[in-house]
Amino acid sequence: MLKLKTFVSVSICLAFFVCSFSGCGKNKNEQPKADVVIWHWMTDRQDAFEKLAATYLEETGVRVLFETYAPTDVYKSKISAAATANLLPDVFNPISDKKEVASYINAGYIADLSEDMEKDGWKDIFFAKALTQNTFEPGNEWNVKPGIYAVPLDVNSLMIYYNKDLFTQAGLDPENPPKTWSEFIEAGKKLRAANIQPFVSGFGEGWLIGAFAQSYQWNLFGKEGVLETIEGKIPYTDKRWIKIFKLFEEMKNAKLFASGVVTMVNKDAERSFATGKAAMAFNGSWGVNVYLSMNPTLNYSVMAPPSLPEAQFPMLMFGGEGSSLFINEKSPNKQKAIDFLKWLTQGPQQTFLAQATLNIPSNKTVADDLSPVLKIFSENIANTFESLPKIESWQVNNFININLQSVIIGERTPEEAAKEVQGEKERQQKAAK
Amino acid sequence: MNFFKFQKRLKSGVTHIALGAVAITCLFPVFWMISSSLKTQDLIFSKMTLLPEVWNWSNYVTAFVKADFGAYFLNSVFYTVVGVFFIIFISSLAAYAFARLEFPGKNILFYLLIATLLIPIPGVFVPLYLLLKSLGLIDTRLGLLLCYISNGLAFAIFLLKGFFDDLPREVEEAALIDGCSRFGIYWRIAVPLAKPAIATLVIMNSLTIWNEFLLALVILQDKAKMPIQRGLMVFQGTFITDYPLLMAGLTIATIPIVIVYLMMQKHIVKGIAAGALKG
Repeated sequence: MLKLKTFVSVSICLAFFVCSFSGCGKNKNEQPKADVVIWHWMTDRQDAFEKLAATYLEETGVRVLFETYAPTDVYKSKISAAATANLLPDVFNPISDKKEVASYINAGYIADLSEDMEKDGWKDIFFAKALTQNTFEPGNEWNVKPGIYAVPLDVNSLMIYYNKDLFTQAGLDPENPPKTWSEFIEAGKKLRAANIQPFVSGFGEGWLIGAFAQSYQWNLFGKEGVLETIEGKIPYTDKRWIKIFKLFEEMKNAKLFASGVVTMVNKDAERSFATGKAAMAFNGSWGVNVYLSMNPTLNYSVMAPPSLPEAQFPMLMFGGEGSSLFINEKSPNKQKAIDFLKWLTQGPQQTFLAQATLNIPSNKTVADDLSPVLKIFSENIANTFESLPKIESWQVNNFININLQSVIIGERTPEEAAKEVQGEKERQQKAAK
Repeated sequence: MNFFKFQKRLKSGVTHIALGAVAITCLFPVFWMISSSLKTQDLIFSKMTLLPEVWNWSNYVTAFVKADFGAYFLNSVFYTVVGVFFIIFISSLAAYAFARLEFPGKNILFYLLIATLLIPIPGVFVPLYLLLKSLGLIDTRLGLLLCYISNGLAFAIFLLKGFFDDLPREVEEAALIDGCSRFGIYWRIAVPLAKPAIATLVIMNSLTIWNEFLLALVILQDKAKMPIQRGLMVFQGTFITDYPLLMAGLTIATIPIVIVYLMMQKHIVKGIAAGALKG
């Protein structure tokens, strides 16, 4: 009987505990926690955001609350659940491709910012590339009303990092990195001769190897050629595509690749470069932040992927918009949110964010305030791929990446790899019909 | 030494070596976590040593303060204690009913309940969110707690029903003849006999709730209501992770659950042994 009494007592205590600690739902008269609520996933920027929000409160009296939810897959789940329940915050990002963003816009969750962007030249402070990702052109395939739908916070691009000390060790001039493909291969051979791994990248992650190859696609084909390939007018067995596969074969034959590059994830590649185990690394501008955290004394700079002598088009790089924020069309605080984001993207705030978080700001007017390496990245934003009205299917892109890896490990010749990709392209075209 | 003694010692030696190897495999990640928690960020990448050159105990203070563990810790204790209590209480009642009472649709209900084990948590985010919204429980501790409880029920009922099914009916019948009520039998006979299974469920559910993060992040918004795992998030950036602080934070977050495990260890071993004997 005593045990039963104990049990009942514990139950009552716990019930009391639950009721007192959790409350029964929400108080309907509860005051909103802030004037503008922003849900984001950038944990490493939370401190900087909070400082800026405090400054904004002092200046305007408007309270802005940044709430972090990470990692991004959980954040995405939260956004989609909140959208379904009509509980989205004032500012958010669905972190999706254009097709999914379009579905949010068409469902009335994302505000069209075109008019506000035109006011006071707000649009003009940004890198053009920073806006294209979230700009919908007339006649777009998702039937979205043409306009600008997000405020870019930063931009990024991919270049080749090189270790100045290792270059010197191999007898190379660290102030004059290779500019042409032949110089690049020669530099790699000298590094290998000096017992240094020349080149590393997370080529085990398909998108990185694809991004490197795409630079040469733009270099050899130009915008029209890239589009014609997507449309199926130029086959992947074209000699220029075979040349792209041959570049990887040439790198392999010259022993440029670090061991295990084909299966390497970018985190391992970053560690390899940061610890001086490889002299060059193909990586994004976020690498500045990563290398600083891994090895604060690393002496490095960046260079563009070297151009091909036979190329008729400029060498462009993968990159553009980094992080953006969208405004909830249904938010009662829509105007306050727009005003805050307008303030956040102005020079002083962008400089503060860039210096605190080591990202390239979307505001092009603050490039002079950046560190030397970030400044090079910033200057190269203009040389990133143009936005295209059509994109290649993910299946074909996947085949390109897999076949590039096959060439590196010597499983396929460039010609065989090109044929494989063309075969997949034809399968996809047939399936689309 | 005769042959049989030698054979016995050899067997014992091989067993110890094999078990030692398994133990090292299990313990090495824990050792690495503690060792990394005492290093500096650049040393983790540049010098792959087992022990740190300089022992940075300050990482623990920094992690505790930076991650705001003080507040999150209390929340996690609350979610774990209350959640586990109600999972055990409700599931033991339900399992006993499924094992001993006859009611229409008993089997269908039971299989439906078991089928819910096949649904992954991310798959129910949206419907759960909508349900909680309609109940006014979004961003409330009660909302999260109800999710934790419902999430743990199916497996607990499944496990306990198995235990109750195997209990000798004669003991219960004798108690009924002596005038004991159904609830009395459940409380005085079935629950005490199922102690090993309950101990296993306590440790399993404590681990699940203590380490749970996805549901909390989706359902809650207010930082003040978040569990301890939310604190660890601040050390993981989009591109960089502060490994020493993350490892220090993980060590802090692991200690309570290790204590719970040590407290329940005896019962768990009993539970496993009982399970083995049953067959």
